[in-house]
Amino acid sequence: MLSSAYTFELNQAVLHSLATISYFDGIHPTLACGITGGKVLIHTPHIPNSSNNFLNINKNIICLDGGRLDPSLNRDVLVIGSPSSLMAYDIDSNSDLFHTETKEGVTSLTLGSLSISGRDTPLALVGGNCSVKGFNKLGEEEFWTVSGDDVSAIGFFRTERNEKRLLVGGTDYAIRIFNNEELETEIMENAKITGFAEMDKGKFAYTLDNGGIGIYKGKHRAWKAKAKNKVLSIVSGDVTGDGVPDMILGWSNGKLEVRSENKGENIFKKSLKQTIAKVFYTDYRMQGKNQVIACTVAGRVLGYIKEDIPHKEQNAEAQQEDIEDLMRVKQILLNELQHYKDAAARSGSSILAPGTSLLVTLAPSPPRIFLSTSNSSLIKCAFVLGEGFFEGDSKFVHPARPSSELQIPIQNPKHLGLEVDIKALVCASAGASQLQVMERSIKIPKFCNFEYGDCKLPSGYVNFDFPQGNRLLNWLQDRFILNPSAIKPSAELQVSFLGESENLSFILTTNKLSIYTETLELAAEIAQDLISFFNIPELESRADYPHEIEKINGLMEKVEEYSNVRTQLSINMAENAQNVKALIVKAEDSRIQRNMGFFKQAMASLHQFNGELLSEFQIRTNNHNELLSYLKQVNQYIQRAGNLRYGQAKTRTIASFREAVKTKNMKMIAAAIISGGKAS
Amino acid sequence: MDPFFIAASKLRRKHYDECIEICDQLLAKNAYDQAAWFLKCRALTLKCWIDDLEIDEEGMADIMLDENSTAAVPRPGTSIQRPNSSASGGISPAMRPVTRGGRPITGFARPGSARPTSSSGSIEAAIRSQTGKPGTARPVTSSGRYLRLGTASMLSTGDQFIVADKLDMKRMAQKQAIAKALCDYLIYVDHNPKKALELCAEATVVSGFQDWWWKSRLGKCYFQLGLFRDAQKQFESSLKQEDMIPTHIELSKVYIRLDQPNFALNQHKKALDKHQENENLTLALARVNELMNNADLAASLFKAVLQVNPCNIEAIASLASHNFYTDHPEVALRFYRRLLQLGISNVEIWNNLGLACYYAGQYDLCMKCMERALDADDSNGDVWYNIANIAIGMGELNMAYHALKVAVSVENTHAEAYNNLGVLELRKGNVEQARNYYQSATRIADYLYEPLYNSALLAFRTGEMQESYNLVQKALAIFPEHADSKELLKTLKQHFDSL
Repeated sequence: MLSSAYTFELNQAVLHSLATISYFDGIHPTLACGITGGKVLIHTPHIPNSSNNFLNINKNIICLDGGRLDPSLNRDVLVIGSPSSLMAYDIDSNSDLFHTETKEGVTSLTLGSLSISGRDTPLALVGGNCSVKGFNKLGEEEFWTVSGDDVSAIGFFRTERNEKRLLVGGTDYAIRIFNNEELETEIMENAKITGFAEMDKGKFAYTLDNGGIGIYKGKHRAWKAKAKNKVLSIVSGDVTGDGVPDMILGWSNGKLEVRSENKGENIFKKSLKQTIAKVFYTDYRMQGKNQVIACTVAGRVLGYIKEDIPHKEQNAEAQQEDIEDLMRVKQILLNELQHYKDAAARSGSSILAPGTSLLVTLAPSPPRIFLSTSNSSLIKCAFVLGEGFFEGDSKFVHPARPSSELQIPIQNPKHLGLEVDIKALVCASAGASQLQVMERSIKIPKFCNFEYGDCKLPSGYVNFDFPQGNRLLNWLQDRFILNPSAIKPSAELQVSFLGESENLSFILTTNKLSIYTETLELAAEIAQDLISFFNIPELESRADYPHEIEKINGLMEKVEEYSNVRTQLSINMAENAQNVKALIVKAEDSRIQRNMGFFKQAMASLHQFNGELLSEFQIRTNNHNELLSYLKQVNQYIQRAGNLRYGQAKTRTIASFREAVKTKNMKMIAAAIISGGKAS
Repeated sequence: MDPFFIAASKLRRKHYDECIEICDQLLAKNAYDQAAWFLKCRALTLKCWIDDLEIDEEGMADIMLDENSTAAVPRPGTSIQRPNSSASGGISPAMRPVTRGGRPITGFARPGSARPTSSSGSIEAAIRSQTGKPGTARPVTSSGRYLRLGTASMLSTGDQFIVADKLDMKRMAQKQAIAKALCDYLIYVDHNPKKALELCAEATVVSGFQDWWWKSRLGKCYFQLGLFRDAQKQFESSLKQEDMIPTHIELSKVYIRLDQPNFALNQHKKALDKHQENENLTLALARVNELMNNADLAASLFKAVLQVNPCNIEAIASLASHNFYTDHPEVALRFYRRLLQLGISNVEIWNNLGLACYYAGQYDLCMKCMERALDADDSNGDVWYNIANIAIGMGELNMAYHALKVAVSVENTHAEAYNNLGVLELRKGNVEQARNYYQSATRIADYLYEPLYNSALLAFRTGEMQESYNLVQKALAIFPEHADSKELLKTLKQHFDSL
């Protein structure tokens, strides 16, 4: 349904997903691609007598995007993110809008507008190490929020009520939906999120690092699909012209696909043989009709336009397809019938006794799924499917000798609460030739790694008002592997659990709940789970984690130390670079004069300086990585401190913690953890 | 009287050497006298102080090997590398000669005006154009340039007063007053931006990141080290705290280095809104406009400078040359006379006065002026070249020929003189000689279109059509709007068509 319209070569290798088509002069579409060597290639087909332009960024380009950042400018600007800085550049007037340093790094970038203090402000949204920042046209930070891990994708979508929401995908497999700075929903996926596309109202599409794609309708998944290859670029556009946007996907194996948003059926497929760096749906030819455009990593750009098929023909085609589909279903059913007939014809001794059923329970210490049959029949093997729960999403257990019981050990370090599907092959006797598949599913409690038992109270705690005390037991039973009779419901309660690395205790008194843990991380997770379980609208809490506060102090010192060394290192590098430059010119100078003695001398010292530069670069890289990892840990602590609270208290905690980190005020950091930075 | 008081008074009266002498005596008595140390430090700094806002030379190595500018092929008129061409309102090379770097000549010799227009050329070409000939001991990087200034000032101050490498910057930064004096010493006397940067970094922490002065000095150090983005960050942060004129100018200098003149212009304009009619800012704005070949804008800005300060030499000189090259020699004459009144009397002034007199029709005065110029320096190629020009204008071809001969003998890289010699030889009928002269002119200065056109014309006349075609193409590449070259190209094309 799409036909090739044009193909041209950029003659430069384009880096993955580093491309944008924008209107840098306000009128003509222009393609900007990131290429190797920290350069950006600008392709301007509509401006006469212009060759390809190159921009020197002199830094690794991590991401780039083009769009309106300054509405008064009436043209698009190019925003480029490098590992430690962000720049917005106006190509038309050859001048920067701004250039700022971003300590937390840049891992993803999108231009879009958010409402800041009531006004819709265009921002460059930058995802970094555990944070999302929004910069306005002057390079001022207007928006800031924390996100669990490195941000790998940022996008927007509109809810069914046409309200704008920010989507943030992280390397921690989570999709977070923000309503401005406030986290609305968190959805767990099973791989790193690589991209978003806004679909029809209330829907958005996502792509994963493991080759998964799908569409969410609000917080519920409409459909998903998975392939061996990865989607490197996704964009939405109404290719079919039916008023509903479709997904346009560019795959790592060079497949260009258009899928409908409804169920993901393929509308158009084409293999380009080269990995696709980016896909677009825009009018690059300026002919009044959008094209599907793919830019490959080898620098080939291909455009496809929709073919106009007469309506009648289209109808006939659709009918033909329907008939084919029905025929296929018929064939499958026929095969199945044949199979049953064959089985009935064979002897009946190996058939399971009627009424055989499979029991599935959970057992603690160590946590495991316990399978047993209701009679003497044996379980040959079992297959468990739990997305993100097992490595590769599934587990197959095959005992050496089939027995009527089977244990499947489970590990749940990420504290996932999900339903797993179990398929067990059951037979009547060990030598039976026929096996029966039995399907069951069971809900894995979120904190199944913890075992009920007595222990000493852990050192840190968080407590808050908890009027829903009488229902706490429900929660405990839902989230832990717990014998229903182990705990008697009462208004005052003390429950302890033993974990692998740390223990956990709950103390419930009238209207107050205290959670004792060793780490802030676990406390935050439990608090968030309680909030969602009991639908608590606002939660204010007090916490005390002296060990953790000490750790943060240590982290802050490290950050300080590494930032200081960093300045020194960059000065040394600048000095050496100057020396190298001077030596090259001097060497050339002496070569022109045929002064070979000095030429040799200059070259020798050039060699030495070059070596020094390289080793210093190595040191600097290590330093940078260390610094990033420490900053990341600090950000994680900010998030954990926030997660002990909910609603306004959470926003306030995060803001005051961040302010404290900025001003390096240790007392304020402690206060942010203990009381959420509440002015007392 | 207390010797310290005398020293302080000497410093105020700008008697730096005497001040240093007294401080030396005080320090000999008590080596830990902080007041005397401070005074000496200040005196030394003020003695060696240069206005680095104005004198800012981009080293050849920096131009050749760095890619600081963002856009490699920016839109014309948005960059210093590709300034406005004459078609879009810039300066036409037919009206105004160019410097060795291929830029239109300015009325006031500034380091930046000799900047090559393109960084794509070879190092060899750059060595020739920047320093005239290879082997000159000029520093090649801008930091090297500062370093050279440093050793020069060391000679004048004798022994080393402060050994920067032995200082403990952390301790020094605690005493803010002394630290500031030391910082200036390190930058202006020692020319050691690396050490100064260390001190600034410590001191700005001590001041709680609240002192604009330290931030602007940090920016200066980063700038000298070639870390422009860091410099920009510091200047911007400094400006947020205290709106200072030098910081504005330094920030725009960073953007000039990054080849984003539009940003620099905006920066200046914003600053001018706050500091209206400020002489330095207007001057800086005029300079950027001149770099971008916006001659008329620059001229009006120079006029604005003169309204504030009628003695500003740079503005007078620039206006003089602007008027001279826009066919107002009599106005230029008045400006040059004004310069003379201000007490400047050197070869260049007399030379320019002579030319202005000649073009204004005051023939009786022009030769007198040229004689004065020769009295000041008789080995200046330009003066002899201009004498030849005047002679040609008056029909004294023999005199012109001799003057040009002298010009190339005193300055063997004077390409224009070679070109004119070629023309004169051709008049005498020495075709081969003429061709040789043209060729040497082209070899020395590949930015001149005249010798290329002349050789093309010569080749056309002698029937070497292909050669002529090649040459005229080269001439048009330098100056696309040259009418004679276009004419010649048209004739050549007609000729080829008829074949």
